[in-house]
Amino acid sequence: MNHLLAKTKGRNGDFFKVISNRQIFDIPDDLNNGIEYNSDYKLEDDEWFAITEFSEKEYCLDFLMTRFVSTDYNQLSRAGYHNIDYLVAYQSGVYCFQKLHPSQFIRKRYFSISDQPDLENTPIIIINQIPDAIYVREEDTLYFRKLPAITTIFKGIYELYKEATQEETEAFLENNFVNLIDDFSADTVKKANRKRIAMAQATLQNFNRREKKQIFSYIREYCADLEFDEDAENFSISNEEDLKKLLYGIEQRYYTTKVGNEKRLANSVIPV
Amino acid sequence: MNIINLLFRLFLTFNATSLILVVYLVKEKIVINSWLSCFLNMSYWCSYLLYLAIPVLLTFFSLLLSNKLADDSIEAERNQPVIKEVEQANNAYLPSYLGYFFVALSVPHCDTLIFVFIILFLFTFLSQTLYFNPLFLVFGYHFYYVTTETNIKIFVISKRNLKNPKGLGFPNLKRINDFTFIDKNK
Repeated sequence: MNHLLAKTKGRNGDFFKVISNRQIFDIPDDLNNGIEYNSDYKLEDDEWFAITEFSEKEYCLDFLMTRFVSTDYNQLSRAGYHNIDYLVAYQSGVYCFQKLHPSQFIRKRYFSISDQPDLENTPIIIINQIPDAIYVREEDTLYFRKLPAITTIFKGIYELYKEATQEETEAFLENNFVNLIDDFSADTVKKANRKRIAMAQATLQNFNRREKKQIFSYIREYCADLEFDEDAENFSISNEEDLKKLLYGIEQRYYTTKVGNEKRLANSVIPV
Repeated sequence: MNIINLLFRLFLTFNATSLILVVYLVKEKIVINSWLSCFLNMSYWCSYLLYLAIPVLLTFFSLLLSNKLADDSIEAERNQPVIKEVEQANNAYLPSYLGYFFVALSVPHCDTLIFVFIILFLFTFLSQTLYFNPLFLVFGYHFYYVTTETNIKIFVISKRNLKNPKGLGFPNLKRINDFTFIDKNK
């Protein structure tokens, strides 16, 4: 029997049962085209990234390791629907994951197409045609197409995220807000910062001009020792440490505690 | 779906506790003979049987209604057992039922009975695991505590005679609440 579960957010987040005895997702028939993850690779329409021996990876979920018994899970209460992090459909040995974005939670009035339509306004949740990730237990393999879509489901999977290549590192350091001094150049950027650059690039793409300005003033607030040129609006980067501070700033890893007003750096982040 | 489930649970609770009313009516010798002139010479037994028939019919109706509940399943896959332990619970209801009957037999007034019944109804409803209705036995159902391989214990109402957890599965369950399930396999 097929079952749909929902994982809720927060400290008390858990799996809850939603629907049983319905096929939620159609399992794609092109899963045999698995390709090892490589962020530079652009998938063809019939290809999937695959992580083999997934159960041995540290970002594998305990949920996938235990026997699936639908009666173990409580029914999701009506109030719980507002708090769903992601959906998991169990379809005879195959787990399909769908991250739930606020846009898939619809609170609009609608009517179904029928002979006797009636106006309804109960919120609805949209199920994607293709799941974000598929775990096939027999093959112990996780299939997915877009890594960013599943990084909040499998915590730590972003370690697969690529390192920036030489060209990307150069491109990043050529940004207007970076001013290289003391012979610091793309050649001297080490592995850890290259990973951060790859992520920061993706983050920066989502910012508009105003948001970028906000980020820069935020960085200056927390990294007083990072030199900033008011006129040219750029940070002076002379070593790996400076670059790290700037990259952490772009990822907004600095924060101030509410009680005690202590400035801190988060060494890893998970959206709550 | 939620409304159906709530109504069904209220209904089951009523069925499980309604025998107390039957016992009280019999004890007080309240009969229907005076309702209609043609009933006048009828034996008291007819009234008593009628009282008993009502919960039986309601229980039968509740079993029909249970088909509308949400589906669930416990399935053994790749020959790995999924059930760790099955424990019969048919006898577990007996002490509570004897308690109900003695209360019904010793309650002096009708208003005391109504008060006691409301309290019993409330606690049976809220306790969730106590849908023991001995009338299910009449329809061939048995009660079981089932522990799954994941070490979670649930309460199953089933027509089957379950003994050996090996190879046992419940492909067609209906969820009454998060702890109680009714098995639709025969």
